[in-house]
Amino acid sequence: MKLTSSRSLPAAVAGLAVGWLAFCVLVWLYGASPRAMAGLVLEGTWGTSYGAGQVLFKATPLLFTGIAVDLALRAGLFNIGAEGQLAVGSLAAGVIGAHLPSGTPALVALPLALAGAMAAGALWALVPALLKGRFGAHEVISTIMMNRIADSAVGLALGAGGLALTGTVRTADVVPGARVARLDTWLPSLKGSAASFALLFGIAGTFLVTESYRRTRFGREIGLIGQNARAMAAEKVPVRARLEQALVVSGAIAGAASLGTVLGYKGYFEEGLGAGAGFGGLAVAILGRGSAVGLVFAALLFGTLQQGGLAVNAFVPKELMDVLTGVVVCAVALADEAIGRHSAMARRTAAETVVS
Amino acid sequence: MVVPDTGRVEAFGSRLAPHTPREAIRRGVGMVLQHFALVPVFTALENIVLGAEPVSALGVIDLASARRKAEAVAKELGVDLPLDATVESLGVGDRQRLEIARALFRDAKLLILDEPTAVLTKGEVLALYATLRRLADAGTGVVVVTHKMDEVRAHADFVTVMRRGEVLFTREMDRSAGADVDAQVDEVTAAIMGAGAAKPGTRDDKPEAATEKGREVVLSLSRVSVGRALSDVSLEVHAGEIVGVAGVEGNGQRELVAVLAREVHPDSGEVTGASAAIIREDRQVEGLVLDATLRDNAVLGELGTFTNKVGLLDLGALEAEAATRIARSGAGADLDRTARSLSGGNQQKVVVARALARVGAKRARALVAAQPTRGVDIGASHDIHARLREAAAGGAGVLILSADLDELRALCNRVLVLARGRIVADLPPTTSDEELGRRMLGVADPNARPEAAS
Repeated sequence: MKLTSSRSLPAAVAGLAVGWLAFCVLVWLYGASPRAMAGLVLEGTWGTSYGAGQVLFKATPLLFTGIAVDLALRAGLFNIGAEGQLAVGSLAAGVIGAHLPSGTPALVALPLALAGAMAAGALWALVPALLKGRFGAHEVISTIMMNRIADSAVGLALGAGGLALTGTVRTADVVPGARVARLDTWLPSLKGSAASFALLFGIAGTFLVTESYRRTRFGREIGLIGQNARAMAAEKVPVRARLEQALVVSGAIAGAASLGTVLGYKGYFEEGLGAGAGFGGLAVAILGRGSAVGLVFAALLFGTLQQGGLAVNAFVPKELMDVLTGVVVCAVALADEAIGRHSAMARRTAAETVVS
Repeated sequence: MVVPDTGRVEAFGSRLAPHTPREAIRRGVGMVLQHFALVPVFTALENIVLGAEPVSALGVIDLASARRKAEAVAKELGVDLPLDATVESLGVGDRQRLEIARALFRDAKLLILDEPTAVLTKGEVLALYATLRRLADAGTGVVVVTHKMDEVRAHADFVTVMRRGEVLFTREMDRSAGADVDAQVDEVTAAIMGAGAAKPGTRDDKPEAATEKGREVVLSLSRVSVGRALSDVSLEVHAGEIVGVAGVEGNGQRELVAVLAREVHPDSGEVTGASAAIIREDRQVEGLVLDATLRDNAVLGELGTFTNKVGLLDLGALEAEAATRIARSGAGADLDRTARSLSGGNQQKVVVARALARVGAKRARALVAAQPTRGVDIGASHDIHARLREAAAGGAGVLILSADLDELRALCNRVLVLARGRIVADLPPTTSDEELGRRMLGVADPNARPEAAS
């Protein structure tokens, strides 16, 4: 899969068109009117300020995991493990946040909790990174396995490890200094929604990461490695180390998604909090593809679908929206491939014209 | 597997359509690739029937009838095939016979073999040609793609010479009593080497060989061996000198470059001298990131030198350096173009400009260029030659590996011949094509030949 951004826009449009068709067909199969359902989705999301706030809330972790997956994808690696990296990162954020002295100022507490979450995510990604770099194990397999291990390990740590409050599957509340403020403290109209300033961190992070693709040696090199690792190796670029680093950085960013769940929403970690955001990040990355605007847009889109599912739940199952997410991702990937093939053919034709 | 851009392919008198391997097999064309296409964990018999399985009415593979037919094929071939052994347990000779049997199993009437003897021992080669001769006598057409002139001398009825993607001629080998087969082979060799194409005048601007003596050695290999690919290779390149390495592809060039790039550590022997800037043999795979911009390709692998104190790239400096290099390369001025969008010649110019910038920057005193003008148009080719000469004139030691004798002749102060992983000769560039060709193809020393001795 090529990751140049030049042809991702038509692919995204094609993907969305197919997604809309799938929505119509599915809704119609359930005996509901596509037009009415679409109306409900819009009304339940962007129709009210509360709905819009909930979309922003749902989009926040997706944005983090989206950048995480995108960074790895740039290096040609599929990080399917954002789910597990986020789980251990969230646990770390919850535990660290809860164990700080209660009077810790936000300037200390929040960075500490965030650093802990990112370190835990990075550590979780380090295993597949080393397996890939040292032994050539495929990162798709090993990151999936690490997801399963994270599932059990987090449960064990909470229960047998004694990190949870007795009789529950949640940590104690994090200290006030480690909390991320709700957006409604700033925009009163969002009152009641769970959107937090974590979203702004996420947007800033997105621009930071995509800018690093151009402006830093690491970012630029992983992009080139993703396109032709052999040429980079021939130029003495440490390809193996870069791949390992890319996966570890990706894990750290996935861990940072706990800003939107643990620190910005619940104020503690409980088993299952943020589940699904890691896989959602795959969808965001594939749709957003290396551009900051694209990634933010994709996170908002899938956030809208999630929230919209709740709005139509009375008429059609909300899982329909998950199906839709899958359809859009597949369609984008397909369209991308098709457009790629088409332009390769066009190039060849052009080259022949030049030669003759 | 490759569809031609223009022209038509005919098989047995009619156009091959659709142009697919399946259709070719159906028409009776059997192909034995240089790298065998066998499934190692399957038995010989299973490999033979693969893709052409006889099935019973119920859709079950009918191995019994397959075995009968395979045995008949083996008998026709005059060989004994261990049908029940797994392929991984077989030697290369058996594997080769298996590939041929597979083609015949599908009723091939035309058998094409690509470099069939590359991996065979002498005895196996003789057995192979005996088999092929039997097939030919029985009415099967046999085409052998080879660069070994000994095999042409001993076995060919007809010879077609291809050079740089063009068919030069097809001729019959006259094997009647009294015909001078050696002379015919020499003519073929000369045609392969491009005799008569020597360009007068190109030699004049070559660096003066006499001034090289006593100059500093910038690159040296001393008795270097790598696996079975290189044995006991010694060479020295002096500052300001252009040394050629002639040889048919696959005689150790790849490994030689890898050793010079310090990517492969020799099993024995020593590599000394400055680290060399390298122009890779395959620009599309190793030389360029095709989908990246010329900007990135111009400074590929050098981003570390453009990183400032806070860890950010100095994009201005990068832009300026890339622009200078691309402008000097003559491959256009638009840094935003992808390398893929350039012609082969311009792609190679970018690769050459990058390597030369490193030599010029005194970070490398030596330049190694593998097949620097392969698949490159004449204009770009001249351009690249001029650049290589400039590098030598500027004091770099240049080593050029090429299969193109005209190129080596035009550029080099001396030409080493690499054959089967050994440096077999160190000759002046004025050496005749026949002589170079014979050394490259591993034909016995001409002095040992009867007519030369007389």
